[in-house]
Order: sequence, then structure tokens, then C-alpha cells
Amino acid sequence: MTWRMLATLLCLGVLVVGGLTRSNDLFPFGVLDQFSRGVDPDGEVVNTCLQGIRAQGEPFDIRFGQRSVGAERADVENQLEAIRADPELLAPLAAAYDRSHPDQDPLTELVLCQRITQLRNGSAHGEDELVEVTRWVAR
Amino acid sequence: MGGAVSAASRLRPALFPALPLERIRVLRVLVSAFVVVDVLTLSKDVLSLIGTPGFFAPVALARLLHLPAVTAPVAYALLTVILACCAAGIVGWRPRLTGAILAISFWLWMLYSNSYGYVAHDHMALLVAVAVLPTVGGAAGGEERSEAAGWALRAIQIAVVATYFFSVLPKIMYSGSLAAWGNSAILTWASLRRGSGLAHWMLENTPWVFVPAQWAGLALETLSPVVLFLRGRALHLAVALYLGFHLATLLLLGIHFLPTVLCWAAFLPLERLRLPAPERFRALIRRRRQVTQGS
Repeated sequence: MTWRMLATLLCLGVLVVGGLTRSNDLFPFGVLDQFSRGVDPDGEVVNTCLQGIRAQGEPFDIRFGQRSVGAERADVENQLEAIRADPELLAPLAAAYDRSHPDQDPLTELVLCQRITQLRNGSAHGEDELVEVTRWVAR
Repeated sequence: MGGAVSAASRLRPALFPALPLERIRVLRVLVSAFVVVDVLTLSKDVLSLIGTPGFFAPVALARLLHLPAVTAPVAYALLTVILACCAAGIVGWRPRLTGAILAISFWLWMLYSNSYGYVAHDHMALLVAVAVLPTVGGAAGGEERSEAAGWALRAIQIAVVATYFFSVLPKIMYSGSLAAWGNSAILTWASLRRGSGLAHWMLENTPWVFVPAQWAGLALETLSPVVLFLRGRALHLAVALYLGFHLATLLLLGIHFLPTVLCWAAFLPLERLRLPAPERFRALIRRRRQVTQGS
């Protein structure tokens, strides 16, 4: 029974360390910080988005997800700075999207964007603003 | 010294209550069946992560094990082993051996699933469950109880409760105080980002619900350790309350937390389900074989 007691305490200990150091690195006993950042009722809501462009066409919205670009929104958001530094990281997403849409022309550009909603008193206020983060262009 | 000994002797029945082996057997069937669904849906991203090795950002345990970015042969081999062990777990074939292999392969699978940027928070109790279930020996069925079974169930219960309780800490750290989080616009934010039709309807028509709902959520999380000490009807009511919380977040935000939801089963008297015992399974297969050979 001793090792069982020690294993329980060890896991709880890692969980405490993960929580106090705000570390997701200690998975599966990392910080449980889902939805933990209180949002200012008069702040803004940032929604990461993707837009595709074919040939000279208009940009169109592309969903995140395994059946679309092969990556979830949260994955891309957590790597936002890396992608901003190296837009080529978007290439596999464009390739995955083309694979899941074989009957259409391949993408020539993939835009990583943010839709920003202003809040007032905890409610959405005014029109959304669309901001481009970076852009991948097919070569 | 004497105080420590008596404290430990009092702690022992709380941490290691003698619980029915039959409950472990039923839970093993449930967990095995769930892991099948999990690797084929929730954590299936491992298969698509093969294509994005540039995103590989291994978590601590993955680095410790020197795991390289996942490749197609590794992913499909893991998947095959996991599915085979789950099948064995469901029919009760060599449960300790196949359970241990399942624990290792499923942990590796989840390490990969969480080493590409996003780290999930709903799998802690399930990973604890697959790890502790093979530690329980002894024949299932009948009325037999053991402390080993009690510890395994208790460990899963603690992991479930910790999933809620330890989420209070970052709320205080990131938001300044619990009140700052409770009064914030977090549900409005979440509804705008990933809300269902119902959530968007509520944004328009009943935005005043969100702050009280946030406080109710905080109460559930902060008081979660109490559940470990509830019994009988109070316990069942508490389980229903937490499942109701997950149903609400599912309907509003599409967040299901299913792996944690499943592990709530560790609080319930599963032995009353009377699942067919492995011997009965095997007898059934033998009889089928005899029938087909006979015809």
C-alpha cells in the first residue's frame, strides 16, 4: 500500500507544481487553466480565423478542424508567434485543405486572420473588425 | 509520533476503502469501450498530426521519453495495440496484462495528441483510470472486496475532483481574484468565439444569466472535494449536478469533457449493473463454436 500512497501524493504534487507555475508542460498533470482568464466586460474578443484565396478570386472563410485544414484553432493560436515569424508553417494546412477538397482548384493563398469584437458591459458592441496576422502564398 | 500513526491509520480507510472487485471489472469494460471511441474521435488528431511535424512541441514527459515527432507507422501501430487491448479489456481477457499494455500505449497516444501546441484538460482522470485499473488483482465476480480495488477507484475519484478543484487556482492567478473571474465576461467571450445557436440567442436575449452562471460554476469547482466524502443519495445528486454542468457547457459551447464525464462512473455502485462475466462470455463463444462445428 506504501507505493500507492506515494504515487497518489506524487501526482498531486506535480499537479500543484503545474498549477503554481502555470505550466501546461506537465501534461497530464499540468495547470487546469481552461477558461481561467477573466475577460474584461469592456474589453475585446479575438477570434482567430482563416481565409483562403484561389487564383484571383475573393477571399473566403475556411474552418479549422481535422476535416478541413488538419489542425484545430487552439493548435494554431498556441503557435501564432511561430507562424507570424514563418508563414511557411501554414503550408501543411493549405495542403490538407486541398486534399479534403479534391474537386476544387488548389489554394493560392492562405490568410491567418483575427476577427475582433468589442464588448461593452459584457455584450458585443458594434461591427467586428478583421485583422490579417500573416499570409502564406503558394510558390 | 503516536499522532502521526493514528492519523495514518485513520487515513487508510479513506484512501483505501475495501471496495468490490466487481466494480473494477465493470469500470474496466466502460473505460476500454470509451478509449476505443476516444482514439477514433476525440484524440484522432494524432493521425493528422503526422503531416505537421513542424508543429511538434513535446510536453515534459514526451521529452523525458525522447519521443520523436509522430510518424505514420508509429501512429498506426499504437492505434492497433490500443484497439486490441481495449477489445481484450471489454471481454476480460488477461485484464492485468492487456490493461498494462493499454496504459502504456494510450499514454503515448495522448502524449502525441498534446504535443502539437494545444494541451487538453479533460483527459487527466481517464489517464489515471487506465493507469490504475491494471494494478488491481484477484478474480472478479461474486462479493469479493479489496483495498487495492478501493485505492484504484479512489485514485480515479481524486483525479476527477482535482480536474475541477485545481482549475480554481489558475482562475485566481490569471484574473487577480475569484470575484474578478466571477464578474468577468468569460462566458460572453466563450459564446462569441465558439457558442452554439442557443448561446448566441442568450447573448442577444438573456445576457444577465452569464455572471450568475459563472458564480455557480465557481461554487461547483471550489466545493468539488466535498464529493469525495458524500454517500448514497447525496452522492448521486452531486454526480447528477456535475453531469448537468457538462451538459450545459456542451449545449452552449460544444465543450463535452467526455473523458472526465465517463470517470464519474468511479463514484457509482457499478457492481449492480450485472454485466455478463468473462466466464459467461467464453462459455457463449464455446457454445457458438460447438453449434457451428455441429452443423
